[in-house]
Amino acid sequence: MRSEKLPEAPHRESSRRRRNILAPLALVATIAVMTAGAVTLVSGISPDSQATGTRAATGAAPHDDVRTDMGNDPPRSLIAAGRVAMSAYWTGSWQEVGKAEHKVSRGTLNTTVKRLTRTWFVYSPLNDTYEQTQWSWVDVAPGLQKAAVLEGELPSKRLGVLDLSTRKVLSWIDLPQGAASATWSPDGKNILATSYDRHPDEIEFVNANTRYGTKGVSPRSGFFIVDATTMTARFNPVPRGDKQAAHPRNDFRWASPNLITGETNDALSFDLDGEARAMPSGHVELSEDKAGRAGLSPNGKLLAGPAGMPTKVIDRASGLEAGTQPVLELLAWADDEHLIALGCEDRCANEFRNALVLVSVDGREVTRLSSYREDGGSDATWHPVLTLR
Amino acid sequence: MATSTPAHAIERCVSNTWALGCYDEVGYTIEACDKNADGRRSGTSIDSSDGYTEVFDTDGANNGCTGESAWFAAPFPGTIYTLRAWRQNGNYGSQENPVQGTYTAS
Repeated sequence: MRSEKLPEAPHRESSRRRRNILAPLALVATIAVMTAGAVTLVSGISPDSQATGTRAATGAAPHDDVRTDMGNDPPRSLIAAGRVAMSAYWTGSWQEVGKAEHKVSRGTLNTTVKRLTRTWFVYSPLNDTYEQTQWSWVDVAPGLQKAAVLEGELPSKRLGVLDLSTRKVLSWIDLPQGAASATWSPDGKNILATSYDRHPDEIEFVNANTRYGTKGVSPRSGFFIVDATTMTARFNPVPRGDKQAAHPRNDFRWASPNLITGETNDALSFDLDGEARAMPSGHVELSEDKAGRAGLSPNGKLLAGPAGMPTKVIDRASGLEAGTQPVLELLAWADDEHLIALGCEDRCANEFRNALVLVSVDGREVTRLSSYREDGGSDATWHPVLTLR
Repeated sequence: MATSTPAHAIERCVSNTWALGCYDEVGYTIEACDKNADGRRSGTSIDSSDGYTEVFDTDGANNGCTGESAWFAAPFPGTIYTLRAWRQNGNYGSQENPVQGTYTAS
């Protein structure tokens, strides 16, 4: 495949460039491999894989175009490359919800309790733009036709499946225990919703950069598995364990279409009935130290390494480097030879000023897809959600 | 791999490829340093009998550091505390590639 650096958009409008990045026949083959389960562990790598990971394909028509929007921050028109699109993004804001006082050994500590509220924007195929939504959580299904949404303040008591063409909710289901995240299974059949007793994004701040917490039990109470076809839900309670940090959110995520995991180190995993299960063999290869968010290539031959410039892609058969890339993090495979990544501006004087890019495995081709975020480490900036088209 | 300074030192540090976290037992400051250009902040925490305190590196430069006062969590001499450093997954606040050490305050 040939890829050339795209020019910057001269003014505030999107640019749409179409280039072949895979022959259609090859893409069909790619998706067939995906459905066969070659990447069933991909989304188990990162605890926030639902936000910037990918899903397995479900037979959707292949796409061979690259779409960029470098003129708008946040993006307005579709960003996509190969089999992956930015289906949605969120921006966050911290709102004060109270004060707290703690008697500590050396005096009294006063903190401000703040809550992170996310505003979700979803791509509208009808209007070809990202549109703000009213939902407290959104996750778009593979194929970009439907989205799971949570209603009202978190933890939400109701989950809906939204038709993205009409923006109407097709069906609702009650979640009596409350949920604060929702994510589609890799095969698009089920929705995983993590339940909490209270808002999981409520944190005590000493100042803008210092957070404080006391010991206690985790507010995470279990998870729902929602059958997206029948819209029936099953709640699986999970032992709570200790609260590990100042930030209580600790969402469950998909390790495969039939396996849920709940810790960064995957110490906990469950089947869809909530029974504890061992992680499948091969999972070690995809551990946090060895594999990044993008995981395995569509054909299963390459493994994207963890975040950190330069990133690496490993040939699984030989164990050797297939290439290094001048990017911050590899996010998702666009095809077997290219990845969507987070790239730095210029020589990377500031790693938080970054953008979505398309990079080749050999690292020689880097094509910017979005505008640069002013501070990619901030909750206030836009956070991309990548989904298979 | 956790590394620690000698017993007589006043600053304790833990470090790995991605993050360096230090605690100054005299100045009561916590410092978070980023060692890797990955687009993520690094975080450092101390966990003592007075609670759990964490700070984050806000310097976008590779190897940038940010320090904050944490007098309220300062462990008394002879008490045990845990120092931890990691790189922060910004979207959900989870800690990736953590490294930690347990110390007795001097």
